[in-house]
Amino acid sequence: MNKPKILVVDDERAVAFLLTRALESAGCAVTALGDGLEAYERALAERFDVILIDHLLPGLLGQEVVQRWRQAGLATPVIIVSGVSNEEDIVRSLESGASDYVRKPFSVREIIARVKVQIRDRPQSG
Amino acid sequence: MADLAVAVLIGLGGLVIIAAISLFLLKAVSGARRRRIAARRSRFVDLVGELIVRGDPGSRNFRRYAGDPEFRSVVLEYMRMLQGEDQLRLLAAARDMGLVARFLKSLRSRDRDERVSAVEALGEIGDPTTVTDLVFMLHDIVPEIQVQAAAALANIGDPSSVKSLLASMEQQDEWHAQRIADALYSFGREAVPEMARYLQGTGRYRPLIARTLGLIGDIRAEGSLIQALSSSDAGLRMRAAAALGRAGTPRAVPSLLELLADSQWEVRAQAASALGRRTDRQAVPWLRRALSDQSWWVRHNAAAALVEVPGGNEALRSSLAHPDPYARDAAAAVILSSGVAGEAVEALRSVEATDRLAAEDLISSLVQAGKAEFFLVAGLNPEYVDALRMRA
Repeated sequence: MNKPKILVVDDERAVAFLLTRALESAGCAVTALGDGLEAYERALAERFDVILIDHLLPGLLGQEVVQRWRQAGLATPVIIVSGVSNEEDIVRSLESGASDYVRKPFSVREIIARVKVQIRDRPQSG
Repeated sequence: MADLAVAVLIGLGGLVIIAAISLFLLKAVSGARRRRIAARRSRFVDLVGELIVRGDPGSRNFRRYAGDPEFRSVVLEYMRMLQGEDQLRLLAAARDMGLVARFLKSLRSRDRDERVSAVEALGEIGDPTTVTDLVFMLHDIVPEIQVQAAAALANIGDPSSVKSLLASMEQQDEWHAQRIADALYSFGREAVPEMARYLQGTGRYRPLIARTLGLIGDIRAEGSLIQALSSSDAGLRMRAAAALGRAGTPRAVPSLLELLADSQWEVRAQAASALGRRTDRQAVPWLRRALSDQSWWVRHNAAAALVEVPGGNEALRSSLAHPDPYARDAAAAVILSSGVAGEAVEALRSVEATDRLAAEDLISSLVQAGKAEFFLVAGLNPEYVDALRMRA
């Protein structure tokens, strides 16, 4: 069985590394990027099962990237991971098309569980 | 002469070349240093990240890095990023690595900046075993360090340190005392019993603590706050009244009612506001009396409180015919700002005769209380407004 493919987008190297290693230990194949625009193009060019994206990215905000993905027809589940955790922001992120929202500081186990939920619940193609 | 000029030019040229080479070397060295630091940091990010993912207890192997500022900064970065079991595991690892011991040692440094960053770091690490050392830092010679230590203690949240925080606050100027009060607020409910005890003493920052207790909003402080209402310190009476407005129960109402007769207008005004928040019907006649207070603030707060208290709106409307013009004015001003008057103007167009009559009664009372201008601005006919003014 193929490993689930996860795209991690975070400009903080420590966050990106931790999520990458944690997800790899959970049996996923992970691609990590630090730039919103690059992530936008990569996700349209390559199929991922779940995308984890930071909210405050240089250049393009996480929720703006999600909005553009949705406008481009990308249906991949996206989890926004953010240190900004006011109600307004969470609602706006979910309205922009994100599937879930995780606040920083986070628990690695919780993030893995949330990723697994997205993989389990995603619509089966074909 | 020409030879001398050539020699000077050659000399200057030489100096410029030497300066350029020095600059180049300096940039090269500092660039290399930056790259070395970045590479080291990157390596530490990987090492500590692996440690968290694996939950590996082999963190003792990292002891050799504990003195490296980059390593410490990476551990703190992960500490800020994580919560729950991951954070606890990293805390245990930080102890194993000797990192906590390093920071504790830095608390004794002669260098002020080193002490500041050690206190900050210990606050972020949040190790309960460091409480005693951080309490000691509440007596540091530098007030900023004392405040930082207070914040660190609040982050750890061990209630045994609250008494020390209150004691250290006594030595501070107002600005620093406020910062310590902020730390006490961060403690939340855990700090309440000790703060309530402080309120019963003679501490100079009792008003600040009364305010903080009100912000925390814990019922256990109510007894001390009620007691504080009879203090000889007007500032304390005022803060305690405000706190009881936020967090009191019906038990506080009789004492707040008595406070409406306080000698200081600031205290009476605060008591009136607090009674509005407590929304107890028995306050209505007292607040109505307060509409005749000599202070504008008390009259205004009493009128605003009547809007909140059950049965208060009726008392407020009847006060439009109060014999005291100041009471009438206070009542009218609050009724106008509450939006009821605007609704009455709309209601004049209602098909229901009873609605029209009620609206006309209210407008007439307000006009007679001197608020005709509002209705003229709202577009009512001046002759009609004049007729209402004349209506007895």
